[in-house]
Amino acid sequence: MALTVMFVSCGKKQAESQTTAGTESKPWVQSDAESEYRLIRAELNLAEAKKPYLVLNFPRKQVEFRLNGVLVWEFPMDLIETDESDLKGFSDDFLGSKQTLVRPILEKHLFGSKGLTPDSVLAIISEATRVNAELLQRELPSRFQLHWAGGLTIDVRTDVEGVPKSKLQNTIVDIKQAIARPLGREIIILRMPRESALTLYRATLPGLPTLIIPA
Amino acid sequence: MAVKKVLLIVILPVFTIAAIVLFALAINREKPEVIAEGYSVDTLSTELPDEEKKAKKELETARKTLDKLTPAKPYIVIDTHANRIYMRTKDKIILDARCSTGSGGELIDSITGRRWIFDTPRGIFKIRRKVTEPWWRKPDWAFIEEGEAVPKKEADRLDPNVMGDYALDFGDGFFIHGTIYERLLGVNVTHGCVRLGSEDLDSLYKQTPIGTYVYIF
Repeated sequence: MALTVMFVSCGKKQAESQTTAGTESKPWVQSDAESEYRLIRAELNLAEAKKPYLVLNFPRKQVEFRLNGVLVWEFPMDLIETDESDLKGFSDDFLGSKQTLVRPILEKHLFGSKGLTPDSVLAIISEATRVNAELLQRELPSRFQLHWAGGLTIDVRTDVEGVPKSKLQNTIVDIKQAIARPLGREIIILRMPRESALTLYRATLPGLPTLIIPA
Repeated sequence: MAVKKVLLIVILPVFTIAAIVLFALAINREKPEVIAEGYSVDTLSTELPDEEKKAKKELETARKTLDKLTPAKPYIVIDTHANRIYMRTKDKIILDARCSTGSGGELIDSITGRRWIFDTPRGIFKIRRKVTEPWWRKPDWAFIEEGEAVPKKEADRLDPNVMGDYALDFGDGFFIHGTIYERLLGVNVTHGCVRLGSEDLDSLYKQTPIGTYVYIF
């Protein structure tokens, strides 16, 4: 019997680009065309890095990750305590007077977390697999925020029961926003299942470029 | 007495308000907007020609350039954060399964000082070959990790029982393959390869031609 046997060395060796709707059937409007062109150029620039970037796709009402212009992850903007007008406000503030399409994430803040697996269980798995138990313990975000310049904030809530990491830090963030909100700074509050929230939380590091497809 | 009254009525509230304002300013102070290294955000040269015909042509070229980046055929996406693997197009998810990706752990050989970091590589890859009934050729780190001597005979490195029924090679020694540790699917535990449950692996293997793009983030 011919048996295909391949020796493989597993592991570490040493050492849609949907942007805007097409305008073919619409009458030519130079300003609209220029807006679309700027958006495409901005995305092509980001795509060159061959690294993921965040996309706030307001026409589709979804948060996305794209890599080299290719859609790799998306999740609908399931709004809570906020509405469509907040989306529009966020979009307008993000663009600002200079019509800025790409902004980096300034920081993120984790409000609470609670692991699913008890440490005692992880210790046994860790022993069996020889992997550090801390790496096995994945932090599941119950609530976190992504911040951009100008106080723009996306607040993500999940159904994970949260245990505050730092009550003081949480209080400061809450005070900061209570002061900022009357000044017109926009917050969008999203509901997300834990697994999607985990991806969004772990993949968004400060400095990560965010491309906006305006509302 | 009068001085005390002035202090209480005028100066104290003024200081309190000033302190609140300073506190508000301090906590609202923003960091500068700095894009992470490696990304280009040059959007200066974004004006279309004034002439309509030329502008249309320029815009159409830009659209096509962006569209061409998305593979025409289904592609694989590996989410190392949630440990999920997808086979998808831009509009539709064809397969969605739990997987296990790199632990991020570090191993240092105390004798030679060699160092390994067990990360799943991120970026864009292609399936280079498909293997049925793969055997694992254990690399040096597999022995060092066990506290065993690295064998001199090649045959002593081979293990037929750990990689499942199939393996999809996406380059640099990394594979999507099966596992005998299915209970750990969904957790970052591997040495860099991507482990899948046997049913999902079977389905993925059958749907994946050589040359399929793999996006890992």
